[in-house]
Amino acid sequence: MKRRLYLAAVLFVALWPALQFGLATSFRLDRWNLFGWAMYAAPDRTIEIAVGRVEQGRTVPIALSPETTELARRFALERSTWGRLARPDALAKAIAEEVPVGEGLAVQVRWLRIDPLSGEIEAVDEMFGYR
Amino acid sequence: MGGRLLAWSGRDGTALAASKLATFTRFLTFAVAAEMWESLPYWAAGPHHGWHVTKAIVATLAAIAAWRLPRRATALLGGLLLVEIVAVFPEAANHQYLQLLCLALVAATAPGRPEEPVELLQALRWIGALGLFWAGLQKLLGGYYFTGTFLAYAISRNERFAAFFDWMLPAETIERLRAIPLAPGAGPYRVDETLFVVVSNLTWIGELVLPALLFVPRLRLPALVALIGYIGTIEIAAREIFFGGLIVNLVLLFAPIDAGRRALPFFFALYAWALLSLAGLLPGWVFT
Repeated sequence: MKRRLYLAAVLFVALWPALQFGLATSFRLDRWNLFGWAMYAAPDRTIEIAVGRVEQGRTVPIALSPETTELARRFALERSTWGRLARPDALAKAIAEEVPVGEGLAVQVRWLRIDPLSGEIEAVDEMFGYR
Repeated sequence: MGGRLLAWSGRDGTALAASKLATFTRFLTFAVAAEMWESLPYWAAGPHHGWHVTKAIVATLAAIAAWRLPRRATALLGGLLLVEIVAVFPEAANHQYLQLLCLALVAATAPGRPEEPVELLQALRWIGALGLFWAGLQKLLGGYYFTGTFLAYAISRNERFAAFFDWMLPAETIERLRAIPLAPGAGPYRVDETLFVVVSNLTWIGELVLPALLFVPRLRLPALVALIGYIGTIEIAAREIFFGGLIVNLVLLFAPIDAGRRALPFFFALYAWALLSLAGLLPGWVFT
């Protein structure tokens, strides 16, 4: 009899989305992924990356080369999928090897979040500093 | 206890269960193979395109073999699908995990032992209903449907949604939504038309309530008809033919007859049309 197998499958489908929801909420993972049945539950994630060098306590924007621009684009995609589990360490390292960063490097990760009730777009920023 | 829990989703006679299982297996294997062909353009620029072409050919042969050798064919297809899911992880579609689960369960089931197909179908009915229920609950938890924010966003970013709501909303509303830039302070993705807000809320309410009604024997048939109509309406906008086809066939398992068998030619024709249009042999690819 395969009854236990069938029951396990049913329980998995019943319980896994709750865990997926918790993980997605905690780490800002893309809710659409990982078999949580959250398709069309929230707008697509839009992530923007800005990089600057720190000079006398101020952040001065850095113009990225085509190579690091591509790295930043890939990181934005990775961040939109993996949320807080994705850090820009490799991107910062590649930029630091390419241009002088003075006192340090600041990577701003901006999530363009749509407020569920007002429907307006708001910026949710997270800063990563490197010395 | 476990047997009674499974039986809440209904109980078919052994002959009907065997017939439904054969039909579902034929649909499932054909759909998985068709989607492997449909995904080929995604892999075209990559280094493993040859492997994916081979995979689609083997999947097609397995789908044909599934008519005579369902367990071996579903096991083979499950292996191929697992490779695909791993290759695109974590971007695999939710319905691909569902396909994999169904393939694994069918592969594990011995058609010759009459009780196994009966209980497998009970489990598949549960799985389909739970999936729909969770889809509704996730929309509720996200909070994007109360004031129509998600649908307004979908209209702004997706022409299929814009076309679907064209009859319901004034042209200037759709133009406004489609002109919203992705920038802080932009918006709002909001529509004040009452009917639009009602439709937005019916989306998640339908997914929560209708699957639950399938477990009430007296309401099973009307709930089934309502769900098929509901999913069909959603798919006119979303056009997720592989997800939609799978969930419809899971819901049809609640029918008192092998309704999937009657629907099978429709899905074969739909997927054939989709693939031929993707190949440029029929007008425009309009599916996802």
